[in-house]
Order: sequence, then structure tokens, then C-alpha cells
Amino acid sequence: MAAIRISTAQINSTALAGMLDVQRAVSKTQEQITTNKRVTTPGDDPIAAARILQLNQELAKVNQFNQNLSTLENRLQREEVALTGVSDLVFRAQDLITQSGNAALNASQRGFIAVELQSVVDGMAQLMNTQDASGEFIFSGFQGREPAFVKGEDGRYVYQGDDGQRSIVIAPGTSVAVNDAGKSLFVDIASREPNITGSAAASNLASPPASINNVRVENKTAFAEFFPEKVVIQFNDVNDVNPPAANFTVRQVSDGRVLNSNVLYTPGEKIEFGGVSVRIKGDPAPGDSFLVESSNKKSLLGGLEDYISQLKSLTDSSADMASLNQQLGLTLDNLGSAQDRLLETRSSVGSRLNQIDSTRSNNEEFELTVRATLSALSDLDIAKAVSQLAQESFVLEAAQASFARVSRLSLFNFI
Amino acid sequence: MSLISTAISGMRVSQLGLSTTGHNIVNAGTEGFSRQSITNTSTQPIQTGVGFIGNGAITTEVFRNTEKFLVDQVATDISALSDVDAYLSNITQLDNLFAGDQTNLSQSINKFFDAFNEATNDPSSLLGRQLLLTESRLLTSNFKQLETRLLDQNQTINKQLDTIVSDINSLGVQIAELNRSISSTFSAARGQQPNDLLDKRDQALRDLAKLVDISTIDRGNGTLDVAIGQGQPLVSGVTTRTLLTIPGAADPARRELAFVDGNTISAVGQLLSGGELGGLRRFREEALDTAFNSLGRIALGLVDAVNQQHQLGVDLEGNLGKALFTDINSPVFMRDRVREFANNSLSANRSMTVAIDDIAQLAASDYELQFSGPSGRFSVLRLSDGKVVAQDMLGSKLPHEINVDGLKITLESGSFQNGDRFLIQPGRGASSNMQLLIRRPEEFALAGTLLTQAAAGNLGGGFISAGQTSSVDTAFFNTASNSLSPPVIIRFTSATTYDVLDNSDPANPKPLVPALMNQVFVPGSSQTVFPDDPGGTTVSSTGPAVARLQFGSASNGYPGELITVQKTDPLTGFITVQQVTMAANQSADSVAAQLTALTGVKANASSQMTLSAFTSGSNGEALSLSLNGVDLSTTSAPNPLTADFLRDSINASSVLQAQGIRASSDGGSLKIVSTTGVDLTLGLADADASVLVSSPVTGLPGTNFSGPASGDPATQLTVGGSIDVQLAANMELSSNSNAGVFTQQPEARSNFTGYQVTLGSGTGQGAPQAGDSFSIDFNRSGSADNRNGLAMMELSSAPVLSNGNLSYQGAYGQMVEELGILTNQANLSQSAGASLLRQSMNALQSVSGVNVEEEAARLIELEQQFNASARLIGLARDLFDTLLNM
Repeated sequence: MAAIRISTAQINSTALAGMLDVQRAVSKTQEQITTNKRVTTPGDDPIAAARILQLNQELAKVNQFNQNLSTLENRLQREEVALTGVSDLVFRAQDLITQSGNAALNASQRGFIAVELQSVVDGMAQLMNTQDASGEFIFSGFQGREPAFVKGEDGRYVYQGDDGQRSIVIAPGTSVAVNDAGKSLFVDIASREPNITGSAAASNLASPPASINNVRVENKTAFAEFFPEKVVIQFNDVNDVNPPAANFTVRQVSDGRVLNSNVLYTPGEKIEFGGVSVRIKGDPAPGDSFLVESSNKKSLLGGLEDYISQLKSLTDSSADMASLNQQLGLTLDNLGSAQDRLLETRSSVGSRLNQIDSTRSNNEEFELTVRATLSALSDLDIAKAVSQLAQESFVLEAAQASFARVSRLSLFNFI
Repeated sequence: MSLISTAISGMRVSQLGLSTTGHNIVNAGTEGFSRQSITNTSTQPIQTGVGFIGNGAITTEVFRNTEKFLVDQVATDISALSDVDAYLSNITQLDNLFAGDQTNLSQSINKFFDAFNEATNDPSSLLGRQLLLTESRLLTSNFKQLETRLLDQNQTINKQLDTIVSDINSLGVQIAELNRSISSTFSAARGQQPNDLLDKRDQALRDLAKLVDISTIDRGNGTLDVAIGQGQPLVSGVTTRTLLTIPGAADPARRELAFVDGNTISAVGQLLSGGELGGLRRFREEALDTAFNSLGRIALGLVDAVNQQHQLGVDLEGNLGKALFTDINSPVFMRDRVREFANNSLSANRSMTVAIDDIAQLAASDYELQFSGPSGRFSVLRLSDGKVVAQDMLGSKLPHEINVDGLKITLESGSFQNGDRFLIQPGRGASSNMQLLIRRPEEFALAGTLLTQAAAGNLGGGFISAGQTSSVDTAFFNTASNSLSPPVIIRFTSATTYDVLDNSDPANPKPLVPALMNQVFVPGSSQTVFPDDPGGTTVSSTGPAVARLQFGSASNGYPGELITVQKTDPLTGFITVQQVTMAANQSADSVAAQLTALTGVKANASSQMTLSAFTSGSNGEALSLSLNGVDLSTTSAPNPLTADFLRDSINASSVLQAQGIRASSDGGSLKIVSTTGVDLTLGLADADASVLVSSPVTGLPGTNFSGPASGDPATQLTVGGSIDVQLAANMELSSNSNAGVFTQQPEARSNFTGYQVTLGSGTGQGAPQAGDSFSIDFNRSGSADNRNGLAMMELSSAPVLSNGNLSYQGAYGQMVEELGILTNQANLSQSAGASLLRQSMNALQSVSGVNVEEEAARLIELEQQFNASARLIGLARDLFDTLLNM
């Protein structure tokens, strides 16, 4: 068999192609070293590339969770501070109330205590209107732009928020509440004695809206009998009475029983039923309604306000003193329940803060694992790459040198 | 003399050899040059008496060292390699585009959801919302940028095709010219080969093979016929055909190839494979389409899911959320997804739209709708895998709907004819048309739509969930005024029953339409309140027999009827029938139980009556009244009887309680309700006594119910219950009678509210109490609410694509992986192709390549020969001189 001929062009092109191949390899290795990436384009390792995308997304998620943890921590810390403050003020109020029960005090001295107690109430309201870093009222439920408690015309605080509780996601499938609505915290406090609250229906049309206030129990025995009934005060067509005038009907909610029908309306006048009195102010439109609900709950601020008004109004007579003593007991009771609720919530906030810590370390661990996998997939083994580069450049040099030498050999040099 | 002529012939042969060798040496670097050699032979010897005496040498032939099959092999390998080369250089660009840091879609999707997260954590802050607005804009521009880059690449390919076609044409002409020269020299040179011309033609063929696959046929007269692709003649003898690029039949933005013969233009796109041309076309179909469709599907999926969820929320200003991005099924988009083939039958009056119905089913592919037979027979072809996914006949009636792979193709009007074809591109343009519709940060709807609240006066331990919204396109939302229509109140009538009421007038809540009354609650459990079936309906018993006052009877007077519940399968049209036979005088509660036993049916019965104007009898005693056999007027009864007294005595009876009967009084009238729907039978024993009875269900005024004549047995009056039936989707209820409880075709009202709440409670002391209520309102001012934001966040990893198997990120990863694999494969085939070509080149070169060393040796050899021949002349001259000098 004849030996295969090799053409001169072939010698050159083979040598050149060989050198180009090595050069490409050198340049690829060098790119890998400079970027410290094994996979520089998906084409290098498609499966790894898809996995890298996925892992990077997981990292982004963990990063998000960590940010959420900080946000959550910030909010909860604010809440904790506010709750501690309210709790301290409750202690202060308990002191003052106990003090006010001292039989040696006269009406004017009780008046001073009432003034101090009012400042405690104002202080509490201020804490309950705590805002977060971006100005949101943290105890207003979903109504974050409204202060939780606002002083009404009758000088009493009214809750403006709702039941809303917002949560934040801190780990896959785990979300944690960032707030506690003031309603359950400060308003719905169990009370030994039934209590009454009034509210205007959201669907009322009057503009400006008419308001209901000075909702108070006038006759405890009658009210105890009335409880737990609710009442709706609805304004009727002006033509229902003669001459036409604003008039309203008071009806029980449970069975529709009419308590007072077509009563002429005088703004601000007492409306009485079931041992309770309320006042409606403003100019209600026909069809507007007001709900008066009795409940076995009393708000923290409301309880104190009730007591303050008692302190201010009761004389030194023995009957008044007895009533004051009874009221004192109730109010202290109410404060006790409020304190319990505060403690409960503080411990819940505390446990949520603990959860933040444990989640954070979990997230860190997870991040570490992901990073390790990611690094294994995409990062370059530098030592290996450098030695590879050295080897490749050595081959390249050798190829160059040998080509130069071989191509110098020619028969033409000798003819 | 012969010695001299022998010497001269030797010198001539050597000279020829030298010039051939010289030719070889100087052409050692000429591309396509084949080494030439000469063939020498000895001349005719002179015959003498002693035998034949040699007479020198003569060169008979100068020939190329070449091998046809090696030349062909090289051409084939060149075609294959440049195919892969063209493919690789394009796909590398694509590969880098999707993985590059600046253009990586994965990152901008992440950033978008990151911003969503920030805004969700602090929903009332405009700062976070502003950032979200910016990121949303960036996301759309990133999508847009990617699709624009793909379109650019398509344009580049068009330009490359133009260049290639003009190169093919000029090479064709060149080859035809060479054919002409070769065939003329062929005949002139009497069989001698024009070696260098042949080399030139071989080289031209190789150049052509670089552009497209070629095959050749030797005509024998020196000309070569050339066909390109799959046997498309380009050169025959000395004539050529002209190739040109034309706009694609379906997609004019995609240039295709055609031959021009005189006035005829025939498209040959599919038939031209191999070479750069084939590589480009392959890239376009394999990789570019994949990229377009995958990207399109991600854009569609993201836009659709985000839009839908966003519309289930409430923005900072109390309005329901708008679509965040342009609706994927806007009329323009639906039309733009279809392209009619240019060569469809005339009267181009056809109009069709393609809507995307279900993103999850959508495949990353284009489709072709072909009318391929008589009477409107058509099929839909999925182009990614070439499968026929739908086949049907077009009836005479338009519009015709074709549902396939989550697409709804609507043939609206026009004449669709045999042979018509349509290209359907669901994902095309989805990215470049993506537009943010929101302009202000306040418009992000991060809050939930519902505000649920427990009434302040609730005494029991019931609670209500915050509520979830699945659709606002129901009668229960007023999207124009951003409110619930109506607001709802759930009121417990006992620890175990509740009514769901329309709370538009809080002073006087009334039953919802359709009714949702007397629902059963199990204390200690948690249960949903509203029907969940989007297609569900409620049918109420509105027949003429319902709840009529039946005087003098202990039965309800219902005539009995056959109730049919029919279910039609929406896909197959298959009908399932269930029936309940209602006997005459059967009570509503037992009918309801029978109906509830059917699949897909839930029935609720209730009965009620109102009593007032209690008039004592002639004997002056309080009237003695009984209800369902229970005597209500005990000895302590006041005279006249009062509604309050009756209420207390009804509510105290355990027998009546067991029948779900409760009473309430407003002082004047007594309302008796049974939550189970049993018949209510009154008995009145006193002569001349009377009571005004009405049945609120009928809406008729009350009728006086009088006692018996003195000494006669008690008179009786019965009122039957009414029934509300909840039906699952696609079900219909009918009755065989128009005189009974149900009318023959009773009205079915959708009972799907689009939202859901869950009620829960403790047990014992923690159970709900009668009178406890929970309200559901529109969340008008939930500035601090982030429930919808959280739901939007869940989309970031929700598997919404590919039948619930892929998230956006997953789909993006899949696309990158697919392109990566194609790139990787191309890389491998490129090196394989290169080494194949190197091998075949080596084989050819070993035959026809010039080795300079070899030629040098040959030079020396020929020089020696020449010298020897010259020496021979000198010898001959010496011989001659010797003779002369003798």
C-alpha cells in the first residue's frame, strides 16, 4: 500500500488548524478564569444553565424574605413599644382610680384626679395612634390612613379602624401578621356589665353625615333587661308626620318591634329607650339609620372615660359615693381585662419576633445551601482551570515552535 | 541522426516535465488547483535487421490528479459544515441574548415581583408603589426589547438570504460559462482535458456547495448539470435559472425563495436545504420560532394572570383594580394572531379571531388552519410537532368556534374554501405589544375587595374570615360604583342556623336574591357560606301551590308533581336525568331531603306564617290555639292572647324546636318560622274566636281564621314550606306541572357571588348566639390592606403555564435550556462537520495537492534527465566530430 501523499498546503493548513484549535481553547479557558464562571452561555451546559436560573430565582426569593423579615421586625418592635407604653399607663390609671376611691377625698379633690386620669387617657390614645415608618397607623386595621382613635364631639374617643389584620410572607408558605387591630386589642374588652355603643350606618346619605353620640346607660336595671337587644333608629319620610318634619322610628333589630314610632327629630336631643339614651346631631336624610348595639364588651378608653365623667359629676352624698364605689370596681375590672389582653398580645408579638429570628437563621442556612449548589454548578475550579490554561498554552507554544522549525526544512534550501 | 533526435525528444520530455512541475510549484497555493502530471511514453522504435531500436520518448498527456468521488465528497461536506456554521453563528447570538445580564428576562421578572413585595409590605406608602410602577414599566420594556431583537434577527436573516441568492445566481452563471468554455475546448483538443478550466469549475461548485446542497450530472460533452437543494435544476449545460427571494406566503416579514422561469415564479423554500441557505432556514424554523413562541407564551401568561388577579383587588382610592397591562384578548390582538396565506382563494372576505381562553393549555407553538376538503372540512395543525390537533367540518352557520390547546379560534364570516390556509401565531407580538395601563402609583390594587366584620354586640364566639374574591364579574359586585351589590349581613337565627341577608338597608335587611336562608351551621366547625360553583344557579319554588293557606286541612294541599333535574355535559352534550316524584301533600322538608340526595343538588326548605289580631271567642276566655299539635295557650295565658306570650310558649316547646320552629313577636304580630320546612298546622278550638293569618311567601293579605261552631272539633289551617334548590353548573330543574310547587320552567338565577367567606366558632359558650351578625362590605378604604398584593406575589412562583407545570421563571428556564441544547448540539455538529471536511479535504489533497518537496525532487530528477539528454547531444556531436576528423 502506497504511503499517503501530503500536500504542502495540507501541511500548512493542518498545522494552522491545530494551532487555531488550541488557541480557541486557551481563549475559552481564559474567559472562564476572568469571569470565574464555568458556564458562560447556556450553550456551554444547557441543563446547568436552566438550573442556575432557577437557583438564582430562589436566591432572589430568599433575599425578598429577608427584607420582609426586617420590615416585619420593625413593625412589631414599634407595636411592642406602644403596647408596653399603654400597659404602663393602665397601671397608672389603676393607681389613680384606687386613689380616687379614698373616702377621705371630696368632690373637688376627685375632680383633680379626674383631670389627671383624662391626661392618662389622652396619653393612651396617643400611643394607640402610633404610626410606622411610612406614616401608617398601626392599630387601625386596614384603615391605615386613619388614626385608630379620634376624639368625638362629646370628648370621647371613637375607634375608626376595622378588624383588618395584614400579613407578610417570611418564608415559603409562611406568613406572619404584621399588625393587631385596635378593635380586638383596645375596644372589645370583656366587661362584667353590659355596655352600649352607637354607630351610623355606612350607607347613610346625609352630607355632612349626621352623628350619633353621648350613648350612655341611664337606667341600669332597665338596660340589663333590654340587653342583648339591638336597636335601629331610622329616619322616615318627612311626610309621615303632619306637618311634614324630620322624624324617626326606633325599632328592635331581632324582631322588628317598634319601640317609638315617628318621633319628631330635634338635633342633639336625648333619645331614650331600654334604659339607654343617645343623641343624634346633624341633619339626617330620610332613610338614614343609626345602630345602637348592646354588648358585653367595653373599650379600654371608654371605660376610663365613663369613670372620669362619674368622678366629675358625683357629689359627696352617700348614695353617689356608693355608686362611685360600684363604678370603681367595674372600671378596675375592665382595666384588669384590658391589661390581660395587652399581655396576651405582647406575648404574641414576642413570639412573632422570636419566629423572625428562627426564620432568619433558617433562611440563611437555605441561602448557604443554594449558594453552594450554585457555585458547584456555575463557578469555576480555578486551580484546575489555571493548570489547564498552562497546559494549553504549553501545547500552543510547542505547536508554534515545531511548525516554525518544520517549515524551515525544505529541499529548496539545498538546490 | 537518430541519437540526436532521441536526445532531443528526451530534452523535450524533460522540458515539458519541468514546466509542469513549475506550474505545480507556482500553483501550490492556488485554491482548487489539482496537481498536474505528464505521461511519457517511448516513441515508435525503428525496425532494423537486428531488431527494434528505440527512438526516444514523447509526452502523450498532461493530466490532473483528481478523483471525482473525493471532489463530490468535499462538496457535500462543505455544504454540511456551512449549514451548521450559519446555524451556529445565529443561535449563539440568541443564546447570548437570553442569558445576557442586561437582557435576562428572568431578572426583570424577579425585580418586578420584588417591587411588588415591597409595595405589598407597605401598601399605604406611595414610595413602594412608585418603585413598582417603575419596575412594571421596565418589565414591559424588557419584554419589548427581547421580541424586537428577535424581529431584528429575522430581518438580518432576510438580508443574508438576499445575499446568498445573488451569490447562487452569479455562481450559476459562472458555472454555465465554464461549461461553455470546457465543451468548446473539449471538441478542439480532441479529447484532451482543459485541466485548469476543470479545476476552476470544481472550485465554483465548491463555492456553490457552501451556499446550498448541490448535485451534479456529467453530460459527457464536458458540461456539467447542477441541481441545488433537493434536485432543483440550477444549471443545465450553458443555461441557468434565476433564484430570488419573495415575501413568505403566510408571513410577509419572512422572506422565502423562488425560481423565476420566464413569467412564472415558483416557491421552492422547503426544497432548498443544506449550505448556508439551509442553515439559516433551519435556524429560523427550529430556534427563532421556539424563541418567539416561548417568549410569547411567557408574556401572555404573565399579563393574563397579573391582570386577572389585579382586577380582584382594590386600589388606594377605593376603586376595583384595572387591568395592569393591555388585555391579551383585545380585539386588535385577537385579529393580529391570524395571518391569511397570500395564495388563498380570491374574495378575501374572510374574517377570523383567535382568543386565548386558557393560558395553562397554551402550547409554545404556531398553528396552521387548513381547509383541506369539500364541504368545509378543515384541520388544525400544531406546527411545533406537526400534529393535527383538531379536525371538523365547517357547518353552513358562521360564526364557527374551534377550541384547541386553550385557543378559541372563531371563524366569523366570509367564504372559507378548500385549499385556504391560515397561520395562527398565538404568542407573536405578545411581548412587543405589552403595555402598562396604569399611570399612577395609587392605582395598584393591593387591598382585598371585602371587609368582613363581626358586629360589636355579638355575644357568641363566632368569627368570620377576611374573605376571598375569585371574580368580580358577577351580579354581586358593582364594578361601576366600586361596591358590593348588595352589601351582605350574615345573621344567626340560632346557634346552628343563619340567614344571609341583603344589608343595603341596615335597618331592615331582606333576603338575598337568590335566597340563602336557613343555612345550617355546626358550632366548632368552620364552613364556607356562599356557593362555590361559578355556573351554579338557584331555583326557588314559585309555583302557585306554594305556602297557600289551607283552611280546614291538616295537610299543605300540594298537588304532587314530577321534578326533573337534567345535566348537560358542556363538552359532549351528553344529558343525565335525575328525577324526584313529589307525592300529594308531601311536606317541603321531605322533598328537600329527596332533592339533596341527588348529585349536584342542594335543597333548603323553610316555612313561615304570621298571626295577628287575636280575637277571643264568645266564652270570654283566651283563645286556645295549637301549632302542629302543641297546645300554645296554657292556663296562664293572658286574655286577649298576645303575640309575646305565644312567642314565648312556642320557643319554650321542645317538640316545636325539634321541627326547627321559632317564633318572634313585634308586640302586635307573631311570626312563626320553621327552618326545616315542615308544614305549619294551626288548630283553633274556641267558637267565634279568630286570628288573622297570612303566609308571607305568597305576599297575599291576611285572612281571618275562625274557630269552629260551638261544640264542633277544632278548626285547622295548614301552610306548607317553600324550597330553594342550588344546582351545580349546567343543570336545569323542571316540573311536569304548572300547578304545583315549582313552575314547569322555573327561573334559575346565578348564585355565584364571586367571593367567599368562612364562618367559624367555638362550641358551648363559644358557639354563635341568636342575633349575632357578621357584615360583608366593600373594602373601600383599606389603605393598609395588602391581601391582593399577597395574592399577586403568589403568582411569581405559581405554575400557570403548561397545564400547571411551569411558572414564568420555569418557562423561561425551559426556553433557555432548549436554546442552550440547540446551541450545544450545533457546536458539536460544527466540530464534527469541520473534522469530516478536514478528512475529505485531506483525502482529496493527498491525491491532487501539490507537495513542494515532491516537486523539488522532481525538479532535480528532471534536471538530471535534461542534463543526461543534453549530454547525449554532446556525445552525438563528439561522435560526429570523430568521424569528421578521421
